[in-house]
Amino acid sequence: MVWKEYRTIFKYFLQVLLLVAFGSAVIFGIGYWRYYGSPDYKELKRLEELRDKYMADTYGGSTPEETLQLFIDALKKGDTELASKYFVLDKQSDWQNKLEKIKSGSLLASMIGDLSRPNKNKYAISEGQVAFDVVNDKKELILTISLGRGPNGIWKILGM
Amino acid sequence: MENSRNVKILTGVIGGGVLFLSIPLFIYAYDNKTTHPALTQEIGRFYSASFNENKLTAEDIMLLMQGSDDEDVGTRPLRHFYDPVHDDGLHISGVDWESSKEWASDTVSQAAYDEKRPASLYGATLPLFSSDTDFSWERAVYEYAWKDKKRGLVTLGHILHLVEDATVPDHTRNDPHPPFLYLGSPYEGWAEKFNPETIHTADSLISSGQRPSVLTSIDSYFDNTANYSNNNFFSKDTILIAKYSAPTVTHYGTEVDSNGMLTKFGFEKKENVDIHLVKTPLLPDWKLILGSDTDQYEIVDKDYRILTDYWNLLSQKAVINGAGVVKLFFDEVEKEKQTKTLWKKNRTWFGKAWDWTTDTISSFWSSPPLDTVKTDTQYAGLLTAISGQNSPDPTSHDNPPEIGQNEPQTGSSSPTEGVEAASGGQVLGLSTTASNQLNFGTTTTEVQSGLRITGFLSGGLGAFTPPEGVGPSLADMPSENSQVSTSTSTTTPPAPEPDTTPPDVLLTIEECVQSFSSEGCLVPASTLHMELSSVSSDIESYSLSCKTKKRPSDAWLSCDNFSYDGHATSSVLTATEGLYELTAQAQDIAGNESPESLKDVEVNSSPVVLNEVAWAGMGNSATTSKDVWVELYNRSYSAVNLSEWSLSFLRPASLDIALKAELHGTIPGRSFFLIEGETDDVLPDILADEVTLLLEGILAGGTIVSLEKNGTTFDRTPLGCYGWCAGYAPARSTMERIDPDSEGGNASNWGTYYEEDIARTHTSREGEEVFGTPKARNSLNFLVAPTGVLEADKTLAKENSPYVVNRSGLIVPDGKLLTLGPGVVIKIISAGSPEVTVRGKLISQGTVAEPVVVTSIFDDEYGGDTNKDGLCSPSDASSTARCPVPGSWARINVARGGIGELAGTIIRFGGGISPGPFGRNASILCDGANIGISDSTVEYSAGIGTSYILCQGNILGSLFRHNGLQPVLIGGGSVAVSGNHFEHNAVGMSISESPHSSIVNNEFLEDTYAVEVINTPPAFSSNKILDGSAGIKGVILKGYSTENYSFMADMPYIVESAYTFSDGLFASIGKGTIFKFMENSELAIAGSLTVSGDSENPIVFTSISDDEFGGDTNANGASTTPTLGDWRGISITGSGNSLFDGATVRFAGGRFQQYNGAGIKVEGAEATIKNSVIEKNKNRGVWFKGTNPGMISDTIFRDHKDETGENYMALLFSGGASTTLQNLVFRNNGTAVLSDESVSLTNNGGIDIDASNDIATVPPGLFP
Repeated sequence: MVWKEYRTIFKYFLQVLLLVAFGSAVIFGIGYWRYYGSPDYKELKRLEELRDKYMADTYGGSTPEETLQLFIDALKKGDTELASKYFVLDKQSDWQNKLEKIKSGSLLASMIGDLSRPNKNKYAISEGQVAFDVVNDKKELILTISLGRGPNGIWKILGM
Repeated sequence: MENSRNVKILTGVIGGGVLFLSIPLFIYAYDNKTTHPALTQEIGRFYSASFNENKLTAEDIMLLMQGSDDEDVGTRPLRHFYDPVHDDGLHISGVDWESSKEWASDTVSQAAYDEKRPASLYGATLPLFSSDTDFSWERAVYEYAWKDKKRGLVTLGHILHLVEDATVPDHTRNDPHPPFLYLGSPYEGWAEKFNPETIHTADSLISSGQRPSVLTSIDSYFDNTANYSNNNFFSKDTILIAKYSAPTVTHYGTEVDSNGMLTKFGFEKKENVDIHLVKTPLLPDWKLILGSDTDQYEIVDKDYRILTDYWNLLSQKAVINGAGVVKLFFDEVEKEKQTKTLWKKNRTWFGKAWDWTTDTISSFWSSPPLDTVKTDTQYAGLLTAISGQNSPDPTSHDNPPEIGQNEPQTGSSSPTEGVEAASGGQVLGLSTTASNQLNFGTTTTEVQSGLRITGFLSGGLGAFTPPEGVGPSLADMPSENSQVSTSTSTTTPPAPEPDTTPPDVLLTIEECVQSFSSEGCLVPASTLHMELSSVSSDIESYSLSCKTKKRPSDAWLSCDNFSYDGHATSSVLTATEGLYELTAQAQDIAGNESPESLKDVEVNSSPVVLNEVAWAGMGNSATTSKDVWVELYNRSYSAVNLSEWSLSFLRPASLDIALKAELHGTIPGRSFFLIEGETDDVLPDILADEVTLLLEGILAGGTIVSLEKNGTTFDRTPLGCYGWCAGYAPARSTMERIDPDSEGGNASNWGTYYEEDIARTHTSREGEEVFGTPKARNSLNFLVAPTGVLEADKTLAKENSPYVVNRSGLIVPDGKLLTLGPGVVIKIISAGSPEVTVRGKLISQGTVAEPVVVTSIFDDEYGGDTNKDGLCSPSDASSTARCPVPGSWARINVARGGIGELAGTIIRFGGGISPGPFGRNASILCDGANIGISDSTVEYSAGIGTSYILCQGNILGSLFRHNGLQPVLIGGGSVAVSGNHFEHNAVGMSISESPHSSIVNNEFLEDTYAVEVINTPPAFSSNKILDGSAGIKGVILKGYSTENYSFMADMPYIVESAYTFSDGLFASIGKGTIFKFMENSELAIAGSLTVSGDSENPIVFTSISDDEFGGDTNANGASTTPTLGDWRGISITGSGNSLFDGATVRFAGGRFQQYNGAGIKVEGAEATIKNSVIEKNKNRGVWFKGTNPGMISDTIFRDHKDETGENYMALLFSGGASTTLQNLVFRNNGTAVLSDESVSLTNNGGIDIDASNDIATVPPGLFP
C-alpha cells in the first residue's frame, strides 16, 4: 500500500474521530447547559457564595473565647452593629435588632455583666461546636452561648 | 490543530461538568462517614438477628453501608428532608425540593438527577432502571431480583440513609442550618461521635426483646419515622414554634449538673419516663426585654442529657424501622420474582413494541405448542437465542452467570449446536421451525418447554442484534424456573387478564365470643387471640395493626410491643385495661388490597363493681332502719347485661352465703345501678334499677358482699374487717368505695360517707337526710386524697372533675408529684379554711381553652353546682344557694423545698386569713421554694394574690385582679415578673429587698399605685401604666439600697420620704429616667451617683405635682401645681465621685433651709455637673460645700425666685470648695452666684449673668 493510500485512510479516520468528538461534545454540552439551568446548580452556587462569605469573614477569633471577648468588647463600646457581626451570617440582622432593643432598654450593661461572669462552663457539642453555660451567683443557669467554627477557622456565635 | 482544539473544548466541557458535580454540599443530617455507616451497620445486624430468612452477610452489610455513605453525594442531600405534618420537602431559596419520601420512590427523578438525559427518556427510549444515578426503592428491588444483587444492596443502603435522616428532627421540621462545617444542628454534630465501632444500638434492642417494625410499604416507613421525630423532638430553631403543635413540654424540673449547676429542663413524659426535651435557663433581664424574640430554650446542656435522650430514642427508631425496611425489601424481592412487575416496568417503548410484534407474529404464524409457558419466560429463551448469550437465572440469588462460563453441561460452544440440556443435561431437541417462525423478515424461533438454551442459534436470527433498549438485554431476562424458563413458543396464548379483584379478610378475636356486652366486645382477658382468614385463595400477606387508648376522649396510640409477621394468620396481643382498635387487611399476589376489617375491643378485668352499701339503713325508725340498698357501678364504656350476675352476702367467719340475689337488667357504661331492698320506697325520690331481698342477708350476718357472674367472683368487699369495713350506724352513713378502679377487696379503698358544705338532696321515706350518694358519685371519690395526704404520685384528669379538698386540706409530701391535667377543677370547702401544702411537686397543666381551676366549693362558675345547693345567683333574693367570697379557703402553699409549676391556672377566692408571719396571707404562697406561674389568673383573694417569700421563679403572662391586698408580693429571692396584667387590686405590687428580680413589660390598671419597692429595687423595664389608672402612676421607692443599682427609664420612680445609697455604693441613672418626689422627700447619696442623660432624654428630678415631665403621676389632674421647695433635693456626701450630665433638677430645696437647702447639695464629695438645667429650686439651686474638686459647665440656672421675694441663690460655694466653672448661664435668679472667701473658683470663661438676676455675684465682681 502506498503512502498516499495510508494518508487517505488516516484522513478518513481523523474525520470520523472528529465527528465522534463533536457529537460527544454536543451531548456533554447539552447536559452541561441543562445542569446550569437546574435548581441544583443554582442552589450550589448560592451555597458557594455563602461559603465565600464565610471564608472572607474576619469577624471572630481563632478560639471561642476570643470571639466571645470581641463580642463583649463591641458591646462595651455600644457598637451593636459590630457586635452582631460575630454571629453566624443568617442571624446577624436578627441579633442587631435584638441588641438595639437591649441597648434602648439600657440593659447592655446587664448583658455585658452576664457575659463577663467568671467560671463559665464550657463543653463541646462536636469537634467544631462548643457551648458556654453561664450561671448566676446561686449557680443557676441563666444563659447558654453556642459557637461554631466556620470554614476559615473563625469561630462564630450560633446563639445565646 | 483543529482536532487539538476540539479535544480541548471537549475536555473543558467534561471537566466542568465533573467539577460541578463534585462540589461538596454540606446539608447533611447524620455524618455520612460516621453516624450513617454506624446506624446502617446496626440495622443490618438487628435485621439478621430478628429474622431467619435472607440473613445478611458481613459483605452484604458493608454494601448497605457503602450505599448509605454514597447517598450524600452532590446535591442529593437537598432531597433528604421530609416534613410529615405538611407533607413537604425542603424549602430553601424559593425552591420546594422533593421530600425524601418522594425521592426514595421516584425512579425517574433519580435517573435524571445528573441532567445528562431528560427524565422523559427513562421508561421510553431507555430502560427505566438504567441510570447510574438511580438509587430508588424499586431499583433496589429490581436489581436484587433480576440483575445485580450487589447493586441492589447498595441501593437499599441509599434508602436506609433516607430513613435514618427521617429520624433527625432538623430534617423533619424543615430546619436546615448553615451548611458549612460546624455551624449546623447541634444534634447532628453531637451524633458524629457514633461510628461503627462505638455504636451498640442493635445489641441493646436485641437484649430488650424488641422487634423490627413491620409496615406494608416504604412510604409507611417514611411516614412512621418522620412523624416520630417530628412529633416528639425539637430541632435547634423549631422549639415550641407555632408551625408544629408537637411535641409539648409536659412538665419542668430542675436538675443539678456535674458541675453543681442548677438547670431547669422541660420534659415530656413517655411511657412513664421523663424525656429531657429542652433546657430553659432563667432569663436575665436583658433577654426578657426581647419579649417573644427571646431564645428561651436550648437543646444542649453540659452533661448532654437532652441530646442523649434524643439519640437513644431516635437511633433506636432508625434501627427498628430500618430493619423493617430491609425485611420489606426481601419480601418485595420475593414478590417481584412471582409477579415480575418491575421487570415489565423496566421495558422501553421499543421493547414493548418488540414484545407486541413478536407476540402478534408468533400468534399469527404458529400453532399452539404442546407445552407453553408464560410470555415472560419466552423472552429469555428467545433473546438467548438472539444474542447467543446465556440467560441468567433471575430466581437465583447468585449473580448471573458470565457468558459461556458456568454451563457444565455444555458439550460444545459451537454456535451451530445452539441448544443444550438444562441442568438435568437432557437435550430434547429443537423444533425445525425454529429458524423460520419468529421473523423480522427472515427468521422464526420456536423452543419447546423443558429446554434451556445456551450458545448461539444459527440461521440468520443469531445475527440480529436489537438496538440498545429495543429488545430485552441479557440481564433483563427473568425466568420462572430454570427447568422451564427458556421454553419459547411462537404461539403464546394471550396474556391472562390482570387480577384486579381485591381479596376479602376476616378478623376474629377469640375472646369476644364471651363478651360481657351485647353491644360490642367487652372482655376481661389480658390476652387477645386474633385469627386472620380470607376466602380468597391468592393471599400474599396480611397486615394487622393495633391502636389503643384509655378512654374515648383520648387520642389513639400505637399499641406497645405489638408486632405482626405479615405471613402469619394468627397473632396474640397482651392487653391492659383500655380500648383497642384492631385493623386487618389482606393483600393478594397481584397486589390487590382488601378493605380494612376493624374490630373494637374493650378490655376491662372487672367492668362492674360494688360501689356503695347502705347497710345501716336510712333512718332511726323501725321502718327506715331496715331500708338498705346496694349500688353497682359500670367502669367500662359498654353496657353490661346483668342477667347472669348475682349478689351474695357472705358471713365473714365461714364465707357461707347468707343470701344470694339474682340480678336483672342492663347497666349502661360509666353508670350506676341501684338495688333497693324489699321495696322501691327505700329511696322514695329515686327509681330503683332492681328491687330484691337484701335485708335478710345482712340480718343473717352477711357483712361481705360479693358480685358474681356465673359463679365467678368479679368483685367483693374486704375480708377481715370483723363486720362492715366502713359506714356508720348511728348516723346511717353508707359504706363508700373510694376508687372504683382500685381493688374492692382492699379495706383502704372503702370509707364512710362524709360531706361538708355540700347539700344532701335525698331523703328517706320519713323525710330524713340520706347520708349517702345513691346513683351518684361517692363523696370520697371527689377527694383528691381521702386521707388528706397524697400517698403516691397522682394525675388528676378533667374527666373526673370536679375534685374536692375537705377540711383536712391536702398535703403533697416531699418526693410526691401531683399533676393537674387540662380542664381539671378542684373545689375547696370553706369549713376549716383548708390549705393545699406542697412539699413535693405540683404541676398544673391548664391551657387557655381548658384551664385548671382551683376555687371555692361555693363557686358554681367552674365545675357546676358541686355543693348541690343550686346555682349562685346574687341578684335573686329568693335564692338560698351560697356564693363564694374572697377568703373562702386558705391557699396553695409551696413550702420550702417544694416546686410548683402552674400554667393556665385560675386561682380564685383564696387567701383566707390565718395567723402567720409577713406575706403569708395569699392565695398562692411560695415560701422558700420555687414556683413558675404562666398564663394564669389569680383573683378574688382576701389577702395577697401571690406571695413569693425568698423564692425563685417567674410570673409570666398572667392576670391579677380584684385581690384584697397586693396582687404580687416579693420578699427577697429572685422572681421574673413579665408580661402580666394587674387590674383593680386593693393595693399595688410590693417588692421588698429583691434586687435579683425583674419587672418587665407588665401593664398596670391600679387604683392606688402600680408598684411599691422597699430597699433595693429589682430591674424595671418596658412596664406601662394603662389609661384609666386612678392610683399613683409609678414605682414608689422606700428605704435604702443595699447594693449598687442602675435605674433605667420605665415608669416614673417616686421617692416617698428619703431614699438612700450608703457609703461605698454606686448608683447610676440612665437617660430618660424620671424621678418624682413627694412632699419633703429627698435622694441621699453617700456613695457615688452617675446621672447620664442627654438633651433629648434628660433625667428629671422634680416634684410629684409636676405634670410637665412624666405626666400626671399623682392622677389628680391640675388640682395641684408644683412649687419651689416641694421636695428637699439631692444630697451628695461622702468620698464618692458623682456626675450630673443631662440632668434637670426642679422644685427642690425643701420648705426650710435646714432640709438640704438645695436642688443639689454636694458636701465633701467630688462632683461634676454639666449639660444640665437647674431651675425653680428654693433656697439654692446647687450648693458646693467642701474641699474636693468639682466642675460645673454648660449648665443653665434659672428662676430661683418666687413671689415671696426671698433671695434664693442659683449657685452657692462654701466651705473651701474648689471648683472650675465654664459656660454657665444665669437667668432670673435672686442671686446668681455666691461664694465665701474660702472657696477657690477657676473661671474658664463663658459665664453669662444678665440683669434678670437680682444680684449677679456675691461678692460683687466675682467674675471680672
